[in-house]
Amino acid sequence: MNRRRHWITLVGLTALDCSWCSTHQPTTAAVCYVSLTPASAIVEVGHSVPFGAVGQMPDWTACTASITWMATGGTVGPGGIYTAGPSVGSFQVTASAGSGQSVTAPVTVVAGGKDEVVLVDDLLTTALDASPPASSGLSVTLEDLAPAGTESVILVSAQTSPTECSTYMVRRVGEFLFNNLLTIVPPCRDEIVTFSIDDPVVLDEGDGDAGGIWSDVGGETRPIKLGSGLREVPIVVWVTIGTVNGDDVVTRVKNDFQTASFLFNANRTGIVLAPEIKEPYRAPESIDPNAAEWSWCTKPVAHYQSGTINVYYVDNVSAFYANDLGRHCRDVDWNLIYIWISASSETTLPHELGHAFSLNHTGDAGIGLYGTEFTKVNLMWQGEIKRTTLSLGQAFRITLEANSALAKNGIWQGTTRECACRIAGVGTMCPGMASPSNQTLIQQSSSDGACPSLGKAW
Amino acid sequence: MGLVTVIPARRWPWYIGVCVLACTSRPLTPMQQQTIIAWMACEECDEGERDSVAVLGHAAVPQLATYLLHGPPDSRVASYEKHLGDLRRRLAAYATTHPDIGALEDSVAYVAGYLANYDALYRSRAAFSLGDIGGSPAQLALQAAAARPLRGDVLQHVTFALDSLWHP
Repeated sequence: MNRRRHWITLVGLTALDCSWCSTHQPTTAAVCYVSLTPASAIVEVGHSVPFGAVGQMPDWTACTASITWMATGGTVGPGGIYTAGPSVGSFQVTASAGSGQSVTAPVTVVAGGKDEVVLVDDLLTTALDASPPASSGLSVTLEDLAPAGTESVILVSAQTSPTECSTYMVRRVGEFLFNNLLTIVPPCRDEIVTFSIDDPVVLDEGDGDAGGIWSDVGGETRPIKLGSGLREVPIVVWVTIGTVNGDDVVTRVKNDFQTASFLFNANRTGIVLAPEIKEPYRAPESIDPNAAEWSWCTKPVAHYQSGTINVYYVDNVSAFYANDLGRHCRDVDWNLIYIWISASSETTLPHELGHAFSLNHTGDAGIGLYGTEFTKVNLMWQGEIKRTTLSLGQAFRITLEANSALAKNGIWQGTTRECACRIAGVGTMCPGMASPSNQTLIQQSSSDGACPSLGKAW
Repeated sequence: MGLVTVIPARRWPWYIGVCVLACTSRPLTPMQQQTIIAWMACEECDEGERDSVAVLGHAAVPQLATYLLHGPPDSRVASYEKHLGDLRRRLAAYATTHPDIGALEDSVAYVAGYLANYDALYRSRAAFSLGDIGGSPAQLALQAAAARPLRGDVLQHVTFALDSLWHP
């Protein structure tokens, strides 16, 4: 009895086994599996990322599959476009075929922002074009940059949240070549701009052939690429005659502008100052430097030209207002600058122009008035007498920042971008960005998904 | 020749005042010195630099009087002069490839012009602070400066400081 039952069971199992084999072995080749790309994605809140799904046979040949899509944390359309919802977190996109086959890709939705852009110059176009587009989770292979691009400069900014700045750094490309890879992981937002040290930092909107993609907060994308050439910044200069002789004043004004032009050029800002020095006139006419009610930023009625930067060289200023060497009147008129001619230094003018170009004091980046991250030779450092430099990040801001006089006055008509973060108490001014020599190299992604330490410099 | 004959009688109050102050004042701490330097050097002085010096009171008067009567420290002047000379040389090199910026002023005049402003800045701001602090020693220092052949605008500021001198 037991033996019979054993045989029955054995035959039955064999039959089941054969049944399983007959069911699956012949149809393995017939099933159209689903291949989903990308295998995973990182997308900002409210933004979209395209997925693709195709039928694929086990031998990698294509097959026809009727794909249906499902998603969590957002929506996915029939074409596979996944649009993230309002919540950050880990979600998934699933593509299913009619055969019952399905495949799932994890999606990480990160905090949104306006701060993702990759700008490349001609030297680096090939390398970056061959890499994934700029976005969160950017990974750029830099091996193609050597040797021609090793002296180029790469700027990285990362942000840990929409309201909190993390770090900025500027490095030479050659410094990355030890591992040929630069990775920024979510939830950092990222930005890379590269340019040759021999070329001005001039940015043109392009046709997309050679540029990265700018994705703004609305999900709109625009291509940008670096261009060449310089941008001329017209400046109207009004010279008032006080205790200093008029001829001397004009000579001094020319000295200031020659020095400023040199310094802006030497720092590769990509701009050329084009001052129009008006005939000196005796103050007061519309302003009275000695009147108690006069202040630096009283906007003159006459001798003012709208739509361009107006620099007033004034003299004989009352002791009431002797607290400044110069003043950019951001609260009154972004195009209004005063220079106290009898006290200002050779870098007072470029310092105030830096303000008009959206740069704040280096110490206002949240690290105290006399912060330690910038060296004292930076033009936006307060109160030093040996200032000659701007960081590459500052040069970048001069051109692209929406609050720069370049954009405000229509000199730069391309895409603008806001600073990665605003510093509380200083309105729309940008924090500076430094290129410190003692900064550690960028680190690779951390295992817990937090922002990697990019150094501490602004 | 005795000291009495070297110093004119009308100058005695000034020297007595300064001597008394110097003998009775404590040396400035490094932080206090930095407070004064910050006021001398600030560009847009929105952080209360001038008021901070006034808070130092009479302790700051000897240092301020020195700046008023003698200008910035020699070491800082020399350092700035070197910087300006270097900058002017770089500017000249730049001008050879960028003639559009126009003819440069003579290098000596270029350096001298900015140095003069640097000197005037120290003297003027020292005068303002002495006026803020007030008292006899500060007044004596301002009066001594007013008798010197200072640059016109600096002299105006000294006069202003004397006129608005705070009397504790």
